[in-house]
Amino acid sequence: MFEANRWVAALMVSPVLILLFAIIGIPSVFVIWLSLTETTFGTDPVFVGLDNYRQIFGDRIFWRATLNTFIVVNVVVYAELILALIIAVALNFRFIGKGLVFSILIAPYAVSEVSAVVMWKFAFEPGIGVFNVLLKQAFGIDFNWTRNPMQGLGLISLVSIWIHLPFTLIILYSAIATVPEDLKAAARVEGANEWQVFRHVTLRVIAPAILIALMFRYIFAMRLFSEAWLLTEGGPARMTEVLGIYLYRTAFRYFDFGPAAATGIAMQILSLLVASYYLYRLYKGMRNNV
Amino acid sequence: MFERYLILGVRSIILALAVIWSAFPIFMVVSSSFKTPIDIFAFPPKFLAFTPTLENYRMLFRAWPQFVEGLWNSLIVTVGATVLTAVVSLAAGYAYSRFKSRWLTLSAFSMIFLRMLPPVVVTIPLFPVVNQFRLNDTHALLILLYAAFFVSLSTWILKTFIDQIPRELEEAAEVEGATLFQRLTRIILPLSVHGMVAACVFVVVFAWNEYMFALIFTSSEAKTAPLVLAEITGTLEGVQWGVLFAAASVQLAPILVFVLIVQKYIVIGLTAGAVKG
Amino acid sequence: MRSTTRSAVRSVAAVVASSVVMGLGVTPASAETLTVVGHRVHQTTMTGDTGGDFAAEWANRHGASVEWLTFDVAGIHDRLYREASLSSTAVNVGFAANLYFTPEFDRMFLPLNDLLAEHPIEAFDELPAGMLDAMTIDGKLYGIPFRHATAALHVNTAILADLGLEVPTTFEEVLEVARAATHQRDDGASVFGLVLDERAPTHITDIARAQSNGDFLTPDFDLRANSPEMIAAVQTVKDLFEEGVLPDNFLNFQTEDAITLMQQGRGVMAISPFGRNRNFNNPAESLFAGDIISIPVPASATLEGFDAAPVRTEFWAMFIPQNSANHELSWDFIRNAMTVENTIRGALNGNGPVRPSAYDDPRMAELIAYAEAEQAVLAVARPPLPGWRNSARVIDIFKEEMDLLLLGMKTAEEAMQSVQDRVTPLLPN
Repeated sequence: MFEANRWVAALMVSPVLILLFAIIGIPSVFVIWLSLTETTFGTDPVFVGLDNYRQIFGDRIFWRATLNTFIVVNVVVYAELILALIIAVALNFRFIGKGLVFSILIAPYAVSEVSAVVMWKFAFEPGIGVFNVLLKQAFGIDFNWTRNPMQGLGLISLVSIWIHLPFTLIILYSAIATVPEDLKAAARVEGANEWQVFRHVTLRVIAPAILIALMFRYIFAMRLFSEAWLLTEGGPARMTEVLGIYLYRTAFRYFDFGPAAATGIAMQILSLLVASYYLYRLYKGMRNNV
Repeated sequence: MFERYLILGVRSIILALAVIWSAFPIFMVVSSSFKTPIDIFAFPPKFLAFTPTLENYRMLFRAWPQFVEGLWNSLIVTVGATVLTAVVSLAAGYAYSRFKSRWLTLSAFSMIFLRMLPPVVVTIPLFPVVNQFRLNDTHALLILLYAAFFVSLSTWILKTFIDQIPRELEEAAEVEGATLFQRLTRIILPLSVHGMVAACVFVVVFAWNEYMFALIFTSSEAKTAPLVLAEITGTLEGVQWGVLFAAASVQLAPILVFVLIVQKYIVIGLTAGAVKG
Repeated sequence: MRSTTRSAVRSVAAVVASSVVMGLGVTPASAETLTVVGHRVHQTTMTGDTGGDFAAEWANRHGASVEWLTFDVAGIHDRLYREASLSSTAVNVGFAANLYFTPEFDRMFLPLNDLLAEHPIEAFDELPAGMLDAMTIDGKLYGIPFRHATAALHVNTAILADLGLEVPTTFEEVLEVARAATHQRDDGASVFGLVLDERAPTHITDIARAQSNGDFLTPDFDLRANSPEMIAAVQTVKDLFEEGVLPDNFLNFQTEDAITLMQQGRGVMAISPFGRNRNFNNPAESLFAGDIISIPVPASATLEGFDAAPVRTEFWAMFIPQNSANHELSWDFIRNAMTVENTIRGALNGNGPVRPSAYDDPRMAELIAYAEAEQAVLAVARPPLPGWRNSARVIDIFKEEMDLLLLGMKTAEEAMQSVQDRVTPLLPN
């Protein structure tokens, strides 16, 4: 029954594809063209060939931003994966108030970023912030992230993990809920301890979900913007700049749409490179599965 | 027996830490909404020792009536985008899970590839077109936009969850004369409800808080709550922090209620999964 | 479970149906609606309680209605420019800040000279020439200045009195007092002698002007980043930062932080717009309500001809998009907002009035303690730098080099030379 249903399949996927191509696909062709022009508000685009790409690739700050993005994205995505996995496993049993706990765990993802980041800044205010005082007294660390770019990137990563951990958590928690109890019971009967049950049963069943969570989180994290902008604006001296900020400046502060489009395309290609391993795994999974 | 208590203990500690980590800044936001502006950034910080006041909420609803309209618009857009995404992603996720062809594989991956383009740049060419079709400042436009940016994630999540559902269940149903639609609603949907919940939570949170598209494509009729929040933050005359935190708390509450309600379906999934073997 | 699914599907379907219906039920703006893009503050100044709603009075006279589309600052400009570059727009009047209006945008907005000649604005000659010049390209006037924000020195007199310090009368004294007032409170919090909103050239120029009437970039694009005046100014800022007179997190500083510090009594003096006086003295928000005075930034004792330093003034102007309908009606709206009487009423609603004479009105003096001081500064203040396509880029470059200086990675000379070199190719022609 699952063969020779070409028309049914086409019909079922068409709404999604129409939406995607109409709203992202076709405009993105225009974006490619835009990246080859010089244009701002009120002027007609002038074709300039690859000048915009030359401009951004020749910009020291673009590369700094690329490096920062790469570092933060990898830290954030893997930290979230590990934390989410631990929490999802810990959460996977019945207890009173579970709904409330789950809601609280999701809350950072849903709260207005501006107000949450203001609170993080307040808690980390150099000199008087609660955490600064704590770090100073407990470890003797002078945590002035407004001066030290590594600490700045650290704070950006921390807040980013705080905001986005629920993304991975939701996917993994839902996936763990699908692991059949009898499979686990069977493993236990065969003498597996809890760790072995987790490794050989749970982890195997949720592997595809982990793959999806990782890949989409990678894609979203590459565009990291709000928390970085609200925390450091890329400073000091644009040493904590990430690509999302670079793009924002070019598009929304300089209104320079040619280089902005070129930056967008560069980010897309970079995302593709970063995600290529996971895409390959996904592709293999899709071939083998059916 | 000992092992069991040990595991329970470890679980409790992990969850307690996770809750503290998640809740601390949220607590600061919400508690600040009940503080006088003087107390909000006081030093030393007043975590609990303050006299609560409702003044910020009074100010919010008196000075920013647009916020209430914004919440209403956000609700329409969020529900619309979520339902649209859920319906089309379920269909597509099912097709990608059950049918196989080179063309299908290609289209599934093109969805991911398109999603890699930063949304900001798409708005540049989209704006004139949207105006041409007079779709600007409509709920329908935001619904389409938000759905478009989340169908790829939702489709892939649902595909992954549907992959886990044994085909035999459907084959048995077909023998009994069930149509494709019946199989989808009676077998696939209930058994992939966890995936559906996950996908829906993402769309709901995104649509409810989205700022950039709403800024560019709405004016007054469809102006959503995050835009009003941004205006409260706007700095020409200084930020009214109390009002901002009150607005943020009001905006957060419905999402928490929503998560509280739908998380039950993940537990339902637990039992469904157990039955299925 | 099946029944819950079904009822869920049913209720969801109902909501979808209603949202689709609502989504389609859009009514295009009627011909009598005048759509204005701006900040909520602009709306309040035209419709407030104290001075009255003169926008509504205007609308009633014309049988029209005014629809305000308000956004945050970045949003206003983005939206206005997007709308103005379409083939037609429903936006009739838009507000833009001086730095955001650049000669490259001239095609998007209507030159106002003809309308002005035909239906003049009352007492037009009184409007500050510097502001009008900034809105003029090739002899054509594009924007009518409506609201200004001019820098003041805000002084917390209570803290000064506690420390036995006097309110400074020269810029040298400002620095002395700032240094003397910097201390650690008993509860461990640092109290900073001087607070600047930002490390942007717009704000650093104030220091250069107070010390030596220096400039970073003149209206005719003479770039003076590496001038002795600018180098001295940034060196002053660097010294203050190093000594802890400026806040620890000055490298990450924004307007909101500056306001909070002053309200919490953790900043003793601040250089920021006069209007900030209201925030600092608002009893609901400030621990020092009633104690913070706003005076002209005093000029250096060595600077001849100035009592008040010629600090920055920034302003918002009203524009008419070229592609909008009914230009005459839009112009009449602007004219109405600009009458002498409505300028005063707007000021009573909280506006910084661009007409100097507005400050002479007794209603102003009664309501606004700093009216006289602001009038005195407005007479000498100038825009900090001209707007052109690259002004935002230049501000970012300046801040970047300023950071390197403050972090001790460059000297003042090196940083300013680097600004000079990097900004030169970005100047017009």
